[in-house]
Amino acid sequence: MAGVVLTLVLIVGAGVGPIVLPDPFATAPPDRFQAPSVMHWFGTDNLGRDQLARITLGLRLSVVVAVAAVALGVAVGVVLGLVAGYYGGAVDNIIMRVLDVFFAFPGLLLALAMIAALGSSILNLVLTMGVLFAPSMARVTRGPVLSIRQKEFVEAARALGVREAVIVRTHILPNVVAPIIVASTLQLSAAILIEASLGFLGLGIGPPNPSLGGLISASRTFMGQGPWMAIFPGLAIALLVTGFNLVGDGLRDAVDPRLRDVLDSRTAIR
Amino acid sequence: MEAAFPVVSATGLTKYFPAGGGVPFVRRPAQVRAVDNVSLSIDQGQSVGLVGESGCGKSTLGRLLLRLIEPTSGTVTFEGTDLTSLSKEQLRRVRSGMQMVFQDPYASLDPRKRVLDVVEEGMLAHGHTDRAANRERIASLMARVGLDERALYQYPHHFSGGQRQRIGIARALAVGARFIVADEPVSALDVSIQAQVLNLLADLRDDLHLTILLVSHDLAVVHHFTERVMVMYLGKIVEEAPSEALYAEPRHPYTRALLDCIPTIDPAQRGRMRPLAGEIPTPLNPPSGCRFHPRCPLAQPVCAEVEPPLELKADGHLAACHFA
Amino acid sequence: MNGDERPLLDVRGLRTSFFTSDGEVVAVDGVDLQLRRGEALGIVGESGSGKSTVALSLMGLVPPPGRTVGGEILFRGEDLLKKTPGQMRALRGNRISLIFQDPMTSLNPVLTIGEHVAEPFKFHQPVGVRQAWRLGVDMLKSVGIPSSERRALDYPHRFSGGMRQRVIIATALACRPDLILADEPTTALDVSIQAQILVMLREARQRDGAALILITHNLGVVAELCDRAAVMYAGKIVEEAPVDELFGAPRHPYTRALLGSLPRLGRRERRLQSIDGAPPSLIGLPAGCHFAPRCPLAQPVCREVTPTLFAAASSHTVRCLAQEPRWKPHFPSSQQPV
Repeated sequence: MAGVVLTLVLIVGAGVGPIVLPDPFATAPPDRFQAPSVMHWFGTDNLGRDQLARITLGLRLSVVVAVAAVALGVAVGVVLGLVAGYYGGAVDNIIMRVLDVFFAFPGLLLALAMIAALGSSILNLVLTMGVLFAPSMARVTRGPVLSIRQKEFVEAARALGVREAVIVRTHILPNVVAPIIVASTLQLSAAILIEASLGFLGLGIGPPNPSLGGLISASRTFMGQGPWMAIFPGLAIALLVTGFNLVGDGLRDAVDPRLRDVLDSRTAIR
Repeated sequence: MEAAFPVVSATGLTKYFPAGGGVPFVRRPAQVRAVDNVSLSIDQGQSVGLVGESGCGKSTLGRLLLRLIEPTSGTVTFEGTDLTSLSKEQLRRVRSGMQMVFQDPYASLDPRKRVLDVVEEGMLAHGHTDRAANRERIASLMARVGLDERALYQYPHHFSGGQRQRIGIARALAVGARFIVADEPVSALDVSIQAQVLNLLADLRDDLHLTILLVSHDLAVVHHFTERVMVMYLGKIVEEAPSEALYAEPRHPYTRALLDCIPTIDPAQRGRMRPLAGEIPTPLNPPSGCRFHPRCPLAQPVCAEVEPPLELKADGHLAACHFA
Repeated sequence: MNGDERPLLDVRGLRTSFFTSDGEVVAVDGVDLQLRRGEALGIVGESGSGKSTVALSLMGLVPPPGRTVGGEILFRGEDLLKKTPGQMRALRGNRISLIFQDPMTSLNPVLTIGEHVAEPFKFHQPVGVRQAWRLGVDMLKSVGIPSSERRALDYPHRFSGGMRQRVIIATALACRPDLILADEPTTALDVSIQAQILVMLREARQRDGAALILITHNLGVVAELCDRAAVMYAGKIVEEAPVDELFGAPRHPYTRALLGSLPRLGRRERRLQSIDGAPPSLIGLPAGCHFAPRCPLAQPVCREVTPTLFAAASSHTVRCLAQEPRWKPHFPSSQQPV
């Protein structure tokens, strides 16, 4: 649960920061390359801008984009996975083969191609990553759907005369939600990294808007004069990703053994 | 004796499952002949047993009778309506009268729904949306199956196997079932709990005049509970008789062999246990003629060539054997 | 009990518990057992009775969070609980064998049948690999697997459940053990296959003279294969007697109720006798008789005094206060068990 704390701190910081902190865009040439100090906790960059302010804004950007992208990926992917898993047969085959095509591309390259084609804006970033994540969310959904579909309680619902759509909504979906939640949390950390990578390559949100990746990229030339320009954005990315990963792991642990524990003391002895 | 009317009847019911090994458009996959040309009839208020070992098709037949599985060919009639000719929506509406009680008490209830939702689900699906009226009816059903009303607000994992079966029974009754297919309802339960659930089913059957088809591999359970028993082997019914007659005078060699296989605590019957030779053949490629002939002590050449029909051998007693 | 012949197996006060997050589950609560060479004992009980845990305890295979916490297991005079893991390994599959319940999962899918059945020879006997293989093939033949030389090269998935169980039995009998523990060996099998396996087990025992502890909930199987039977409830043995006497004239109310709840071929009754309630949780059981909450004969004294095994007749023990002359006055005469 350390992950939850970490993530929350970062998210709250990202949300609150830009409000209370000095303007991240305000350049102050006299204050260039100031090392971290009480005035500027993370130091200043080559234009005298306060790093802390820029990083928190960048964090906010990363989190927003990541959440939106994963949400889109989940929305599209889960629906595809449900349909493929529940109806099976040709439908399943077609959907999964189409998704396989997407899987064949290394994620980052696909993202690069799409951004290059569409141009970089927040919307395009979200769209691109959503498309990137949909196939794996579909796969994560389809597996459990396939196994739940065969369970007797689904057959029982059909035998009762419950409509198929209602069965999917009330029986299948709630039972596959757990792995989807775990997967999407982990997907969030992937999203952060992709956004940062794109930013680093210059394909993310352009200057003067600070994106974490962009900050790192910009700091390359100034490593000698202000290494803190690279360290703190990097740290921010690492912490955010770790935070989400820990939360994902924690969720995964919470979800599975809960069911197992109930059975444990009852079935341990025969 | 006045003719009782059949609640369920089947004619030429057949189900083949594809078993893989086929190449699309080039070679048809092998077929598992789970149920092969079965005809039967169950009268209102009767308790009928369907008995057999693995691969005999009894579970498949039970589901075919409710059209939970689509038959490859043949027809099933429920209360005079040909189920096989109904549309999906028509079938859905007819379902409330015929229900199934499932084998696995741990898989047949949705773990994420409270008992109240489990039992009410069918009622809602059939237009009974007055929640208060539903609650009342459900409460009395719970009492009938021997469960406390407080159980309604708990989740299935709180309950033992026997209690979950009771919930499953309440669910079937809630929707107004008149015909119940009980597919191995007590096989997963401890012996003392089996007795509880069987007694419950018997009470409900008598009070509500239900028609019950009990599918089981356990001859003793079937013998106890039902008036009439059908024995299945490799997708076919090989014998059908009143329970007493089946036990006292089995006519089909398979039934006889099966009865001889059962270990008994009765010292007088000790030493009677005689195993039946051979393995149960795979339903992928059943033997020619009479499917039992490779293992049958009475087998003659005709048995390998001509499949014996299920026909009347004595009063109310049918067997599919050339020499019965 | 023949006094001058030391029993093959002498279990005294065996206690095995599972330490779960909900508390200590006392699965085996002070079990005593004795078995002579070549004798067959059935342990009968329902889920939660602890019968399977007894077998695992004897083999030293209780899985965590379980642990044997008390008692002695004297096998050929030596206490198994005091043995090192290495010593136990030398015994398992060699002098004591265990046959598991589910033949579909008890065989390693990546090993051939021949490799399975050769393993005990390789491990316990001073023979080379080829010789072990040959001995294994002979064992397969002796349990009725046709064309055993050829089939020994097959993998488990090519075998049916009944055949797999034969392989498992062959592996268990390979080194001609003194004691076979069989935990629900036929429960997962069809009736006709079960009969084959039971007959095969009976013949194998007659041939090799191995003692058998057969654990099952199926009373008929016990009757066919065993000389004596013990009934377990909530971790304790509540009755033990020769098989025909136990089933013909049971003394413990639980045994009686169990027998009454069985549907029997040849006897159709309108209702089966059932036991109210369900087996108790094995965590924090109260004092007194564990069956009292469900017992039709229970009196207040049953909840205060914990009954011990009492010899109601020669070689017939019962754990029930109503059976002991000392406590009889507490039970109204109309409720006296016969």
